[in-house]
Amino acid sequence: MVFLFTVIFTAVLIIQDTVQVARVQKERTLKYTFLGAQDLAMCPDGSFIVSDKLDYRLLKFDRGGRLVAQTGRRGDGPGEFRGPGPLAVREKAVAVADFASHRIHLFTSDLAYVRSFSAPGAVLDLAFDTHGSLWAAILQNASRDNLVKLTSEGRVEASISLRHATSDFFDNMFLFDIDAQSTIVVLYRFVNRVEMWKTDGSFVRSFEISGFPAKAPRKRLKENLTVPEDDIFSALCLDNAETFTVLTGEYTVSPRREVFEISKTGIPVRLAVLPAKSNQVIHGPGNRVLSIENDRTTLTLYRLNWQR
Amino acid sequence: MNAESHFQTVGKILRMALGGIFLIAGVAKLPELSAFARTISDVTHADADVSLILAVAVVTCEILGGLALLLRFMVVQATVLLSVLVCSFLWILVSASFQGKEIQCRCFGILNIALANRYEILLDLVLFNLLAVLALISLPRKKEAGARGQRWIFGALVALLLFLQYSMFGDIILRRRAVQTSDLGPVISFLKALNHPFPTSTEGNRVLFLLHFPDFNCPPCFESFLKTQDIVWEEMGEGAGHRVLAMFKSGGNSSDPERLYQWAERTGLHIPILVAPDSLFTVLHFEKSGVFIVSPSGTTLFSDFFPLEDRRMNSFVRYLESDYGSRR
Repeated sequence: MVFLFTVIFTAVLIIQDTVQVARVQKERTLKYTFLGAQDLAMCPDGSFIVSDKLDYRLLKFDRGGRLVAQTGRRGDGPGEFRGPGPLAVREKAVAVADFASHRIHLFTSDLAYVRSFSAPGAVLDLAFDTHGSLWAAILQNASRDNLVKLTSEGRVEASISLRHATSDFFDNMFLFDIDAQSTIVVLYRFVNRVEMWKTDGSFVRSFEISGFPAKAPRKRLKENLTVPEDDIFSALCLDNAETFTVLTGEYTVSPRREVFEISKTGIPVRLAVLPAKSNQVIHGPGNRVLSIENDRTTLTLYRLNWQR
Repeated sequence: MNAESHFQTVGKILRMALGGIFLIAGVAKLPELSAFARTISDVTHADADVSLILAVAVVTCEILGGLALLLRFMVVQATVLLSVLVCSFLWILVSASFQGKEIQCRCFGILNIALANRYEILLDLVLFNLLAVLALISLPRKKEAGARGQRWIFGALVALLLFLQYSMFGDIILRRRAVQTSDLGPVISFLKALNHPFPTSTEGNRVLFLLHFPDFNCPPCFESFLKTQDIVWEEMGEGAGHRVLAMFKSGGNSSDPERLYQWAERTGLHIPILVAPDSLFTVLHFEKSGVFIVSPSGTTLFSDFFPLEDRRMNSFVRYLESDYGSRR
């Protein structure tokens, strides 16, 4: 099956012949070793924040890669985590979700604790919109309103009923990000489907990304429990209004190494193949990407030199 | 209508029903042959080419056997062929059950009929028995005076066969006891070689965690493990540390000891941990993090993968409490 996908995918790329490919140059790997880096986010000043789920910490590094602040330990008290995961950053605020406890913690940009509140369910992803409101992807059974806008106290202020949400736990798992034009891009992890919405709740469009399977094949884990074998997409980030960036999952020529820029009609337009498997990528300063690698223990900065 | 014509009617119905089932199962697998081959590969650990050959052989047998029954051509030979096939399915399903695996057999291909393994076993047993009855009916019979006596022998044989099947498969189908996830023999041998006190302790039940560090990226699995180890520590206490062990798969560099000990310290993990070679996990066919309760005699009383559902967590606690309740 994987072979078939690979052949089809390669064929589509060859036929289209419009994908711009990057020469990837490794700039540096952070000297810090993580226990299980889960997410990372770039601050406006070029510094970046990493959530280390297995170390129960948030860590801030300056643009030179030096550790400048850290906070957190295991627990349920203020500023304590059961496993910090998805992150969102804006000028002076950092939000981090604790997957197991369903709590969202707010910190200043220097990682000083501000407050926490409970989310309506497990939080899969977080993002701030241009007005500073916090949005969360919530995993809740029997509800399609999985994309919610939260007040600073954690109340649901608005919600979006996603069009491809189903009753299946895994098929509902999605990533999202919000661009400067207040467009929300929703990317399902195990189903090849993108939905675009405006933050005012109006639907823009929905499409598949060319060259990827429609749905991840499933395997049976326990009686009455089938799960996807692997994800189709493992990370999403937005950099400009025309495209969005995805890190591919297992169903490509180079699994977890391909970083695609996708047009907002679903066509891959640029491709960078990282030298190592990545767990998460974000855009760095200039034509760079930051990648969590080596089983979530290292962070590497790559420069992408685009060429035809 | 005499007994002979009854037999003929039953035989005809069985031929048509069984022939139809096998023909449909075989044809429905054709468009999903590679998926069926992958199932074979998962279970038998054969490589892809061999699995594909086996898949083709199975489908061919099913189609030819089904057609033979429908067309009443070499019926006895066809039933024997299909019985062998069903026995091999049974062997695969029972092996998987004893390894704690639920396999998606894709037995009906594109028809997408997904039954739980214990129901697949039940279905295969029913098919096997019906094939046996069809074979007996289809055998040429001589009219003899002792026909009544033969019927008694036939009935007794059927009863014996059913009793044997019930004894062999009843526990799995009725889920009356925890199915052993795997034979822990290699683990015990490994620990004995290290002079670890875990295998030799006879004080009471022992708790073994087999863990893959990358599974901790699954938050429910991770939390379930932490909750379980908290419960174990609360129930057994520090004095029973040698009867509790968390063994981690080394997984190349992914769970190097330094990272693991750092994580255990940050987590406040109470239970002793040990990094074991990947080959040990390969021998066990162990692919996911899980927990076992082993009795003093070495019997696996409980086994399951993380995350434990509430129902299973309750069973886990019951097993722990049943051992220690009398001594508290």
